[in-house]
Amino acid sequence: MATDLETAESMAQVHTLADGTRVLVRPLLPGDRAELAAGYEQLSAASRRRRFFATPDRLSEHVLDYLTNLDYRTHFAWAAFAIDESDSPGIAIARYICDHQDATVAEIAVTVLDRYQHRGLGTLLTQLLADVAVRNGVRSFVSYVLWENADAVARLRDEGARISTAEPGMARIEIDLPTPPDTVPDATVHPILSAVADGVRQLLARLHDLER
Amino acid sequence: MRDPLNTAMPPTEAVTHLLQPVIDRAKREPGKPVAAFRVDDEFADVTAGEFHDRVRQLAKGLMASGVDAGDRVALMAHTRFEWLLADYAILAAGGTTVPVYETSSAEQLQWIISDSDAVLLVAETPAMRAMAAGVAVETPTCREAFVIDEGGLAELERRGAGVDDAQLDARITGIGTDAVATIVYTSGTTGRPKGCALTHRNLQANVLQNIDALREVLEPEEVTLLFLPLAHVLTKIIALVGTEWGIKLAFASDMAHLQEELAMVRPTMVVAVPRVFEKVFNSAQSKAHTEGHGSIFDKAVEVAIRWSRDHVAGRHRPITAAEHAAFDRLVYRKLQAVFGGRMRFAFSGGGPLGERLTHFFNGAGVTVFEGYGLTETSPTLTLNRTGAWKPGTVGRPLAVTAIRTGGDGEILAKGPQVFGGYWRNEAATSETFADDGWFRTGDIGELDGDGFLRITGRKKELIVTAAGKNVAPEPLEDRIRAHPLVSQAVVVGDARPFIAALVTLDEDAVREWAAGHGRGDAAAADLVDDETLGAEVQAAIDDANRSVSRAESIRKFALLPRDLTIESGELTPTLKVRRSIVEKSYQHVIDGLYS
Repeated sequence: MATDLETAESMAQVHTLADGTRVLVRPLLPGDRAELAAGYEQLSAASRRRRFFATPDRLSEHVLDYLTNLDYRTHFAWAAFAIDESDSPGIAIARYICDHQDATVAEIAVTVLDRYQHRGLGTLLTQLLADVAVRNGVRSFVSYVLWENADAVARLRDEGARISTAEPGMARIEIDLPTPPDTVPDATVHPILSAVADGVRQLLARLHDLER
Repeated sequence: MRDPLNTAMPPTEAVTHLLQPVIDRAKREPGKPVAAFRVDDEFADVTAGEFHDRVRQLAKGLMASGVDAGDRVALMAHTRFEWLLADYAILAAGGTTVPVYETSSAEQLQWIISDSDAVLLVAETPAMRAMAAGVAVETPTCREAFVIDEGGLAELERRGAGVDDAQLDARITGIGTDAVATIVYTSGTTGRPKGCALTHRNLQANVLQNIDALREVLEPEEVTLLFLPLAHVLTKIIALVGTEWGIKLAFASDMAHLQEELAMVRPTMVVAVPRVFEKVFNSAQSKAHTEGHGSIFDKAVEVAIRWSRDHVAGRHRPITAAEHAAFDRLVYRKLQAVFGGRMRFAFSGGGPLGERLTHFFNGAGVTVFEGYGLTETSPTLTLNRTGAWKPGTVGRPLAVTAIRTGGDGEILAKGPQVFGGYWRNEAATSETFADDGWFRTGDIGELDGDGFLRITGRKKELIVTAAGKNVAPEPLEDRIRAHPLVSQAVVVGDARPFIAALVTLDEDAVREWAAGHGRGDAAAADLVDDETLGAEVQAAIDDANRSVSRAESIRKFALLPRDLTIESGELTPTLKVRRSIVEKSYQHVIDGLYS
């Protein structure tokens, strides 16, 4: 997987959202640090809370170091930019970070600037994130969400996500990712796996609904 | 599986408005003492007839001061006779009582007055009026404040002299059972406190449900001593049950005189939060130990618990019975004497009471009925009772109350005591009801095979102190974290006597601070006991405390030697704080804060 700037840039892709907004999606780079800090400061209190379960005024240098020093294998992030706007501002980040004891499990966090929410961007990024994660050997995504979103949590459970109470106020949601197709040579199995993958996609979309 | 819907019916068709029991008793038994308060060295009784007359006079005063049917009146006072009087007078005038804790901060008072659009404030002290006056600019609807300690109620009664009985009677007959009787503000996990709008029907139904559950233990002449805030619906429902049943409600002067006044009033029953039972136990224990009877006391505790467990299980062991009898005079009666010597039972709510403690008190002759409910449910949903008493559980559902658990274990409830919604807050209201009308308690629990409910956890990020106070940790933590020297703050206090905080320092900021304050290159770990640094962090704590009442405020904090880490599991990989893991890592520090 991408470990240098060139590879990271080779992964760049342009997507058009349902409302026609065009976004450039590429791996997050160390040079995005200042924009990440500025983007955080634009987030509403509600969005900050969903991301960190807290609403600090700004991100500390330590936190910024941590969020921008990626190895693109156990810690990967997609960044999205609104390329039709002047200066192509960064508008969303979706990242996964593997558990330090079990690299097949990764926690994800998706943050979209408030004014770009409800356009399908978070869902798109979550799915792109799953594609990368599967290829990097991640078998399941974990997300911690606030129990306040009771209806959304209930729907996720109905669709097969594993839900548990992490602690008061916090639910842990775990979704199994599909097995990567190239590790399963048998052509007859492939369609089944694709179907499973589609189901997972729906789950991932739901998961993003919850984080939004 | 057992049908969780408890269908034993109390006469809920008899639900009227809350004034009716006051009127009926004044007519039927005008000379019966219904309340008492301390005057010098004794408690003076108030009869049903006198109480009814004073409620009417005061209600007329409120009408003369412009209170219309449906208006809100804020009431800020500690638990005292005048609280009850003012509450009933507000209801008689067709109004809605909006209680405010006497310990509330100016920010909270301002919010409650403005959100409820209260037209008048009845306050206990001039300081409270001043607090309200300071915010009057932003609460234009609140026209006037009456101060109890400055004769404010007498002033109201004077004003009411010109109001006809017929006008007041028309107001009282006009009270609809679905009119909002009280709006009680509770903290949510975020944002401003929300007003739980409880109707006459909600509260009166809960009164009848409670009485239905207690029928076997209630006797015609009961006396209780009220000492917890009436602004809390747990105390309020006991007062309302008292009015319905004819229990004499004695009002404690304050917590400092509680011990003395328990001996004066000699209540037959009390309502309390777990903290009170813990305190009684702890002080008895430490007294025994300092007087050199520690080992006897500890043995007596073990025997009481064993005796109670046997009793519940229907076992009889001669040795335990003999030991129990031996300790009765020696220890248990002394404990009963603490409550005045006549107390037969007590209610505990607002938080979990330990199973051992429940058995101990039972073994020592004081049966504690633990119940469960929320402000939103008037409050009682379940209650332990004679014949259906299981320590460690919160009892079975009350009559016409349905309890079930959702797929994630959340306790869901339906019943006439469940409120209709939060005051002018549809978003919060719709979140709190599931699609099919079940009220979401936010608590996690399970019904056992015998229909008893056991509370096992909580979905809301809320701390419930041993005093039964709900505290949302997050707004407090946000304000502490705003201080430049602070990295993380974790507020603790679940089932503890008060709120405390664990604070970590920002490594960079602390290094700078150390250099600038002659601490050389000291790091956070070297400075956790530094008094000057502690004072800096105290300023952040003080700022957080300004947003809450005294009961919710952070009394102590500890600086941790290092920041929270992902390796320790205290932060998730994406940096979300895992509160419970932090609490586990620093259990010894937390214990130190409470020792």
